[in-house]
Amino acid sequence: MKLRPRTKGSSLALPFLLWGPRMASFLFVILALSLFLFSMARPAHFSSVRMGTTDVFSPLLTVINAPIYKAASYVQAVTGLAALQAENARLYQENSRLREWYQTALFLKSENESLQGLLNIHLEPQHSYITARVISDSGNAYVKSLLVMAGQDQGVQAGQAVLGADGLIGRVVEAGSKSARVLLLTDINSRIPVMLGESFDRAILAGSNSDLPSLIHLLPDSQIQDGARVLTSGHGGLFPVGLPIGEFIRDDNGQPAVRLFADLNRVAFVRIVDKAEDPRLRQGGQGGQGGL
Amino acid sequence: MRNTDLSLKKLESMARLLVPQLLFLFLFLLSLTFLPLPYVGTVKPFFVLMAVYYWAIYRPTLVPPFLCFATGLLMDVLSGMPIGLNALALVVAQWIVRDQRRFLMGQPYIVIWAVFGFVAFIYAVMQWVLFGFFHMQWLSFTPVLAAIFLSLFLFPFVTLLLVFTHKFLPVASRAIP
Repeated sequence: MKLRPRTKGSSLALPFLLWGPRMASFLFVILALSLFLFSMARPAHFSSVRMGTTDVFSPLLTVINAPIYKAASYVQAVTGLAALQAENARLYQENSRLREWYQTALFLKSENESLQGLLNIHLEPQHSYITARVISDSGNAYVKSLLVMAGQDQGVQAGQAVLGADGLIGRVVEAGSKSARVLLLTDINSRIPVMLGESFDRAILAGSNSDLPSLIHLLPDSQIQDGARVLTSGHGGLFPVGLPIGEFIRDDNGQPAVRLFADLNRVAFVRIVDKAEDPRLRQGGQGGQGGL
Repeated sequence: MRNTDLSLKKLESMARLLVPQLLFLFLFLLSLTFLPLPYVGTVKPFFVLMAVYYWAIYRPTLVPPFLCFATGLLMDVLSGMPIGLNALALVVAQWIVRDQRRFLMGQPYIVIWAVFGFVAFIYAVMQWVLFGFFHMQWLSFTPVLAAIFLSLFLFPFVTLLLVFTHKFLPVASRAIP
């Protein structure tokens, strides 16, 4: 076979041509790597792209999620009859106990209000809630987050606290126009100021991607008993004071941790705490909002 | 007459090509939703990787590197992962498998399954290392291992769907194993 004489240009391109389809892979590897490094340097840069894309995909995710949730609830309904009876009996008992507590709470509330009136005390304003459906739990082994079907159109903003049925589950990190992403308390990027027990010891609740977020910066001499209630402290002004989070325990290594009241694997609806308009609160300086 | 016949044929082959893509979209959406399986929690099987692996062996032009890149990027954006992480892992996984497709095409299913386990492991390690590098914090590898084993367990079921859509492809472009 006679070889054609090559021009200078084709000899330069030859190594690339021989590579064939690998060339495309190679280019996309370089592109992905550059995007990765860029997002590492400026993580906030892609925030608007993220929420724009999520807004577009949220209806699709709702459609695919609906039959899965329905199937799961049917399976639970069929297999859980015995468990349901036991649950019913337990709830009866709990209800009668709670009725007594309800009366006590009403009495304490009126007493508290009259004492506050006497002292002319200024407490923080009441908060309102935005209820939203969870459209996708896009969390995986690395990221623990939820997508909810409510966004800026409904008054959701980044930084708001998010409650499940039994307690705090996380906070809004990105809000699009129709959907928002909630970073769960278990994510490694989650840090929440909390207070514990009757002495209101302060600490930071730090996610570790395990089911039990740990407590850091707890004073070494604090005498917290297992089972002590952990509440939001409201420091930093982002969250209201006293949202229930969980109870104090020690993990396998003896380190302080928190067992959450909310079951993060079974959240279908969430309540987002709308920040109340308070004329006494001043707008923080630059970067003051995302400090948590 | 012949002309309309031809265009009809063209339309039909286009529709046939669309079937595997629809399954790909379905697997992509499935990888973003929470599966209410007991004891699984938020461990997500690698559904998209299964499709990428299968087509990289039997029909690489159906899921080219560009589609891997775009899908990975969307996964990153929608699941809140660092941008480019899944895109990189998927493109590399497709590259590795496509390079070995001549060997893999002639193998019995059990080998294909076993090699998928190996590819899933590489894919997961890539994700784990990149994520650790991004946050400068190394997570426990146990949930990642769980995801690998769950993917390995579910692979035959997804393969059934993939083979089913494979049969829809136009005959000329079908490279059945």
